Amino acid sequence: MRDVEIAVAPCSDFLAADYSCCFYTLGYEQRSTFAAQRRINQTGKRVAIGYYDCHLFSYDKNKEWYQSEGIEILECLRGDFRQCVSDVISGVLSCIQGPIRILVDISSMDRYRLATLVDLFRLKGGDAEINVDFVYCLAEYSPPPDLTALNRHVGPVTPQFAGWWTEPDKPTVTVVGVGYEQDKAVGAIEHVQPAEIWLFYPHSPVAEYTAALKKANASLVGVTKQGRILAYEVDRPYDLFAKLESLVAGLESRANCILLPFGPKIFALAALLVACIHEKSAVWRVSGGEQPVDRIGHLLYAMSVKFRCSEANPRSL
Amino acid sequence: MKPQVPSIFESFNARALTPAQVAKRFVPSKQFRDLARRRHTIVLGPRGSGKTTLLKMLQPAALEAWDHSEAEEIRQSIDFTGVYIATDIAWGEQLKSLGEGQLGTKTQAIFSVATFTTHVFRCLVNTFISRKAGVEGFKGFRQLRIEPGIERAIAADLCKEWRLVDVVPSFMGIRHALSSRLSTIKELVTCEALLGPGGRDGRLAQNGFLFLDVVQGCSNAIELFDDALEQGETRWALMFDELELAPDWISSLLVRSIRSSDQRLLFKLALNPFTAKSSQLETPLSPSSGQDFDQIALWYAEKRDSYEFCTQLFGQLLEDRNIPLKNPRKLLGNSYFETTADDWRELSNAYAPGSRLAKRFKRLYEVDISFREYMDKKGLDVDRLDQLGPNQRASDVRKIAPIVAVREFFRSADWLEGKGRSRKRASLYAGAESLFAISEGNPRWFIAIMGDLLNRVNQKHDRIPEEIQADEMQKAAERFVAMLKTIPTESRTSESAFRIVKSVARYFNRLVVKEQFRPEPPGTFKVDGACSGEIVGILGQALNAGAIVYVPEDEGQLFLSSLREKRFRISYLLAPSYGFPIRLGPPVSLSAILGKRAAPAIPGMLPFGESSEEQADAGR
Repeated sequence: MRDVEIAVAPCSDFLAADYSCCFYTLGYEQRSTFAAQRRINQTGKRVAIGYYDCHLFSYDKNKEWYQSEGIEILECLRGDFRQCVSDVISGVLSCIQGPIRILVDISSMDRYRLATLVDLFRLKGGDAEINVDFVYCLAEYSPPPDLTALNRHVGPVTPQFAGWWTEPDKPTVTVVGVGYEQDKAVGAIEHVQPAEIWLFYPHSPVAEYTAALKKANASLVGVTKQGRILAYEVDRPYDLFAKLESLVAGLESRANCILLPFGPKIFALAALLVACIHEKSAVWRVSGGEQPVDRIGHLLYAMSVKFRCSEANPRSL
Repeated sequence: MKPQVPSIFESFNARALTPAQVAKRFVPSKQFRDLARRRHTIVLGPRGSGKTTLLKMLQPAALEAWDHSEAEEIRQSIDFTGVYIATDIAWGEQLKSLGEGQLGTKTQAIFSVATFTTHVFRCLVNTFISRKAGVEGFKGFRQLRIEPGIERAIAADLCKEWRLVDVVPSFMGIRHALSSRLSTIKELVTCEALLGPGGRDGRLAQNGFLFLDVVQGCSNAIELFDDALEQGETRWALMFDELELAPDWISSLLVRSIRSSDQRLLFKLALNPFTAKSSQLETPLSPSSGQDFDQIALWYAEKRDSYEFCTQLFGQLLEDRNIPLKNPRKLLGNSYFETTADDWRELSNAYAPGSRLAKRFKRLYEVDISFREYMDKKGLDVDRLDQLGPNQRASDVRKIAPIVAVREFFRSADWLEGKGRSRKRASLYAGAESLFAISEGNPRWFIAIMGDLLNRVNQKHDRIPEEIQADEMQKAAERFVAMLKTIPTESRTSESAFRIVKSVARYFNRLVVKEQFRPEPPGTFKVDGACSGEIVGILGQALNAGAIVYVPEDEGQLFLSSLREKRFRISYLLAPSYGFPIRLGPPVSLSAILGKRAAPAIPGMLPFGESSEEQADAGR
């Protein structure tokens, strides 16, 4: 086993670049195919990972489109996802010598799957250098989803991101990426009862989100100390990563961190990458409790991440 | 300028406070005095009820820093050293996640027990450190002068006892080594997950520290410490917070240890009111309450029982803000439900015609047919309530006064009109006595509500207006509801803690406000046999969260291994949201309440299977 180093950088050539493998998501949102439609006629392995059921809204249409483009469809249950994707990555790694470049469209991917993918890249990056361009499609505005259904999970996004505290008696700090779902962040914070709260507040190019965010988070923002609310631009994922990593690095010396990624998916990705670097920190998810919403793609952003064996600190078993 | 105060979420989390910070605003309660006795103790209470504060206050550093009129007397009475062992939800999740599902149950248990044991040793060393007198030689509470040579000798022996190698022989060195051991355990777990089960037993056996016994390890370490410092046989209390999060093997061992003959150790265990661990106290060989240990409840079934504690805490909050000590009623006013001295003074009788209470009865009499029928049938004249004899007034009028107050308030046209309904509803519960009841004597909620209110006290120290009190109550209730909604449900049906609690609260509101007037409507519920196992399980979550409160028939039986046939009420914190009276009432069966519910408009069941939830999560 080897320690894996992670390097993050901005990415701008994702629409034209050649990839050894592209992972898309086959979901019920219209935006599921938004990135793939802008990368037609590409070579290399292309897989759209779908869901076993819940084929609502645009699911069938998206599936038809992926098939028409010759993109392989993998529809799997949550329990099978890790193995399915691991097999695909291993297959690609076995065919290519040297560093490989992979594209992952995270737009319609749930946090569990995203965390599993990041963890697999982290593991397999010990054997070969893997460069992953994570693409995120910002959706057109849609009103906040109803939260009348039940909450099914509050805890680590996956066991691999539970964190590990070597000083459990240190204070717990939550770093919350706020979203526009009423009460979700407040409920999670009350559940954890942290000693300290930091908020990451998204600024979106889609103006309607601003008012919805303000309304949903009025009480939370109102009671958070000045200086602990950090704004970030949704269309600048690298800057977000850098800011979040810097905060967690600073907090870790005096506290145990839990990252709570609500809001734009790009924050969840940044949180997972930060937790790969700061392995003591945990990433949690609060899932369920929302009604399905069809979202329409609007703008694309990307971030490059290099997973490779750490030369500074190789460690073998 | 408004003082910079911690937010509601950060305002009272004793776990994160240093011993001195905990001591700063600590108010001793009866429960604390009981806990401070030289007895094994199990403390039961929902989240936020102050379990952590009580345990942390028994640490030597907290007792030393405590400045209170009773502090010295209590310090003198404590003849043990408290070792606080923190746990929290996130750390509990880490223990559960160990091995990421790739290790068998046995291996996972070995690692989680070793992790917990290492943490306990680390906490014990922290306590050794806190007992070292400062460099100036000043000796505080239970502090000792420990010469460097003695510390080195103790540390060297501890290393042998706890199988630590290459450690700087000092207490700090050992603490760092134990932190490193936690990292080592994580590495071993990762390796075992990769290597698989073949040859595992042999590999694990090479790491003897994985199999250290937590109680024996502590006992031996304490003996080393006491012997080296020629202390004789002193007593130490191992104080485990949130024990329900500890691995089963550990909690079972601790419960069994209560009956052990090691006189050196006391166990003070804090638990939720309802946990699977309760069954560990029910076997024939289990220690018994009253005989082997004391049990302490940190909830108040009767609202008046929390009043004294709330009053003291209120005084402490005033002192923190340099506000001269005042009767809570001076700043918060009287509750809507109280009969005040003014009521008696002005008209010589609180129920005299024209009095506040008589007007309330009369207004309801005029608009509510069923109330009118009740009064007429009883032969009670709303214009002559003051002329009733004391006994009849007590049994027929005073008894129904709180119900009349709520019913009249909610039926009044004023309340039904337009905006600000939630604030108007909450204003019913303004006033010191009601606010104290709403807080449930739960320090976290009390400080959250009162802290913000007292920050608004003006320089003249005028009474805080009802609408401001209502705002703070409403905000607290909303945060509480948000937390309730977050409690995950494992069931695949539409039930959740929040949905059940909301149904019961609305039912009680309906009985009091909308249905035929009843002098004594139910205000509590019993979990009857018709309730499904799923409902009972979810109620356990609600109980631990503080959303429902146990009303024991027998004060000696506080442990709940089952909620069936037990009586509960809804937390008064939810009263401003749902408008029910803050009083106990007779019980009604829960199945009768839930059976009257309408089906949810949007069912909580996943209509499209597992991935409906997954994809909904994806869509942001």
